[in-house]
This record gives sequence, C-alpha cells and structure tokens, in this order.
Amino acid sequence: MILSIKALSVKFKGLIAVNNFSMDVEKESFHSLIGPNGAGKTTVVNALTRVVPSTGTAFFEGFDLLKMPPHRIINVGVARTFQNLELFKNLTVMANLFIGTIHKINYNFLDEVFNTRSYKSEQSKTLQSIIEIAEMLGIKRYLNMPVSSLPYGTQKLVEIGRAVISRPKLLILDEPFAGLNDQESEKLKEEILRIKGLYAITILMIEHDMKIVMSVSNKITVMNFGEKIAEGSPSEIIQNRKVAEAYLGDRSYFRS
Amino acid sequence: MVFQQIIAGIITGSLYAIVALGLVIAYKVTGVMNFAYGYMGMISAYIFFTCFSMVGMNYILSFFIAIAFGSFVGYAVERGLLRPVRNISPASMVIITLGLLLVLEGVALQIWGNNYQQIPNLLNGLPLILRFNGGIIVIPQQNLLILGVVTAVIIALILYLNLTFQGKAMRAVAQNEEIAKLMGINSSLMMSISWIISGSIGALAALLVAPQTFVYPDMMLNLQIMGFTAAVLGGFESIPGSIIGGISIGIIENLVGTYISTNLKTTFSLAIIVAILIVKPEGLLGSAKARRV
Repeated sequence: MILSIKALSVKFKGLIAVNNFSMDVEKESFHSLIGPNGAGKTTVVNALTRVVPSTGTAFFEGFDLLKMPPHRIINVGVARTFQNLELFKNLTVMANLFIGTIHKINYNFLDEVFNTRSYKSEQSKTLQSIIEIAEMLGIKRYLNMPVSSLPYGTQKLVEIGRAVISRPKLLILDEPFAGLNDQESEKLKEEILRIKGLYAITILMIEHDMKIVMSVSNKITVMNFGEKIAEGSPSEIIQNRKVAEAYLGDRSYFRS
Repeated sequence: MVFQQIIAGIITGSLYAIVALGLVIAYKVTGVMNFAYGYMGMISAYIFFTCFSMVGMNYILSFFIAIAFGSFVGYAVERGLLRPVRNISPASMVIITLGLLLVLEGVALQIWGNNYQQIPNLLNGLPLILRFNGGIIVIPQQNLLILGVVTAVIIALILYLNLTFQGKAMRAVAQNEEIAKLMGINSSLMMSISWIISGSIGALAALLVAPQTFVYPDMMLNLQIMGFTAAVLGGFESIPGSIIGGISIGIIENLVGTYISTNLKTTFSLAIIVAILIVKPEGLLGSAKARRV
C-alpha cells in the first residue's frame, strides 16, 4: 500500500464537501476515483496536495501529506495534473517542463553564476530528461513555443509531462480525458499506460469516461455526496446497485 | 540642444525605470502595489547620510550599508506587514502601503528632522564633453555613474530572471502561485526574495538621486510618482515595458521642460501619458487580457 487515506473531511464554511473519506491505494496499481459531478473527487485530490485545508490523515510512504507544506509534497513523490489545465501559460513548453525538475535541483545560485562543473553536469542531465519526456509524449517540436499558443490536447500532454518529469511515485490525474475525442483519448491512454510501466508509477485517476476507467483500472472507488459508496474491481463496480443509483437516480423512487 | 535634452532625459528616465522595475517585481510576485516604495528608499538615503556624514564612514561602505538596509526593509515589510494580511482585497493592501508611507515619513521626521541634508556626488570630476558639428553635449560624471549603475542593475536582473532556476521559479510563482507550490517551489521564499530585490533597488534609486534632490522626508515623492507612471505606461507586468516606459517619460519630460514650459513639465508629460493610455489602455508592452467565456 502506497497511500492510505483515513477519515478525510473537508468543509467549506458549513458545506461538507468530503465526509469521513477513507481509501487505500496499492503500490503500482491503477486506481480510479469516480462519481457524479460534485461528489467531492477533486476536493479529495486538492486536500491530498494541500490546495484546500482538511482534517484526517493521508499517509504516503510514512509521511502524512495533510501535515506537510504544499511545496514539500512533490519531494516525497506525489505529482498531479488538473481538471482545468494549470500551466504557466506565458512560459515555453521547455520552461514548464524545467519547472517540474526544480524541486530536485541541488546546485545553488552561485554554481549558476560561476558555471561550475556540478551545475553543468546537472544542467545537461535535466536537458536530457526534458527531451526524453518531450519525445515520449510527442511534444518535442513545441519545446520553444509558449504554452498558450498550443492546442488544448497538446497543453494536456505538457501538463502530464511536467508531472512525470518530477519522477513521482504517485501520479494523480484529474480528468485527463475530458474534452478529447475518441482518437485522442485512445492515444493518451496508451501514453499514460506506457509511462506507468516505464517508470513503475502508481496512478490515481479521476475520470468520467467509463469506457476508459473500466479498461485501465485495477481498482475503482466510487464517491457520492462527499462519501465513499463503493469500492472494488471494475466488474464488481459494474454490478453494484448503489453505483447505478448514484449515476442514474434512485429507481425505486420513480416506481412508487 | 535637443540632443543634450534627450541625453538628460535618458538619465532621469533611467531612474524612473529602475523605480518602476522595483515596483513591478514586487507586484508580479506578491500582487501588492507598493505605494510606500519611494519612502522605503528614502529611509535608506537617511541611513547613508547617517553613516557617511554623521558617523564619518567611507562613501562606498556607507553606500552598501544603505543598500543592505533597503533590502532588509523590503524583506521586513513583506514578511511582517503584508504576508499576515495576504488574503484581504488588493484595495485594502494599497491602503496598508499608503499607511506605511505616512509612518515612514513620520519616522524620518522624528529621527532626522525636516532639514534638507546634503550628500555629495560620488564622482565630482570634470564632466564628459562631446562636441560634434552643430552642437555640444555635457554629461556630469555623476550622471554617467547613474547611467552605468542602472544599466548594470537592469542587465543583472534580466539575466537573473531569465537564466537562473531561482528566476524561473520566481516567474512561476508570479504566474500561478498554487501550482508553483505543487511543483516544489517554496513560494514564500520567492516572495521574500522579490521584496529583497525590490527593496534594494528602491534604496539604490534613492541613493543615486539624493545628491540632486537632497535628503529630506519627501525626497522620493516625484520619483515614486514617475516610477508608477512609467510602470503603468509599460503595462505594469512587463519588465522591458517598465524600462521603455521610464526612459520615454524621462525624455518627454525634459523636452517639454525645455521647449514648452518648465513649470508645466510634469503636467504636460503626464497629459501625454494619459493620451497614450487612452489609445493603448494595456500600456506599451502590456498584454490585452482576452478571456474565454
């Protein structure tokens, strides 16, 4: 088990967005978090990455993420992407990917000014990994272009690249397939699976596209109204009555 | 004659430009428009005056003590005064910096009094005289020093922001603080650094202008107003914009002062700037904000 969430709650001024939520993510698994809109999926992820304040615990390899300052999260090996693309829009693709490596830098400012050997060797390593990731995601030819000038799908790849280049152990993807057509989705799915295999990453994914969720997940957790309503393998989830109710509404209500 | 005025304009303008630069750096990273900026620099000018004229220290040493003090003031104001109230509205932040302006003015009055204190130029040699057919340009050595120092600071700053990882991290915080944090960037450290840079630039501007304006509590009033104007003219978020804005205001002001009216030079140049901003509201190099709806 790589991540263990216990009794996570998030309140926004009286509104309970996530209530007493617990979930375990197995190492190197592909774990999906699904649920209707407003179920609190993104809030769970925001709490884990300390974007919103929360109560409870979330142990990741011995560190309680909920007690860490946000800028330390990436150092223990958790990286994420966002539902509505959060890139540094005015910077180039190269600079965006570079920012994904900043937390690992161990030369200092003076090394840069005097162009020392440790700076040079690390700089060339960083450059290599940027090119490697860019090549893998097929965005190498955009490296020197500002992100804002790229199409939406390509920007998504840049965001995934920025997360992957930090060499995370746990990669959290928030609706990576939203807004893509079938062809693009299929391609992105392959990229994600390839990266997962290559770097032995654990993935926690929020997604609405059930076809994709069912085909890639080892385990699925379903949320509704801020609470966990079901958990299991894809085949178990398909047959779960509570899940069908959450998505389709309470059928008994219509019958009566 | 006109060349002489343009050169003089570039030199005044370069001071406006670094004041604008200091304002813009702090604004970009922390989102605070610092209306106390000039007055923070003024305190450093008094520190220089105290070290050099009252204690009798070496000129260069006093200079660096004053700059270091300026960077400390920048750090302390951001960390102690503005950080705790980060979540209030930008308008309230502006009021807080205006309050700070009054406090700094009062402190300076209490400690050093209301007299105009003189501090000498660092370079007092013969001015540089350029003759060419049809004219003559005279540039005092102190003005050459101003030009040289300002150019060096601007180049160093641009290199720092564009080439070092710290500079890139700072730009990342400026663009999207939350995400910068998630990428492992210590955004509070970056905010402190931006104000340290801003504070030391403010001190530098005050020290460079002090031999001309004398040292007194309101010595930076004009420079601060013109620095703000330069920043607005440049688009307020753009560093090249601030530089171009500052230098163009300097030149406009000098030309208006010579050929139209000395008394009206500020009025006239500000009117020209208002005209420019009516035509191009986002500033010379600012980007028009287009939003998807």
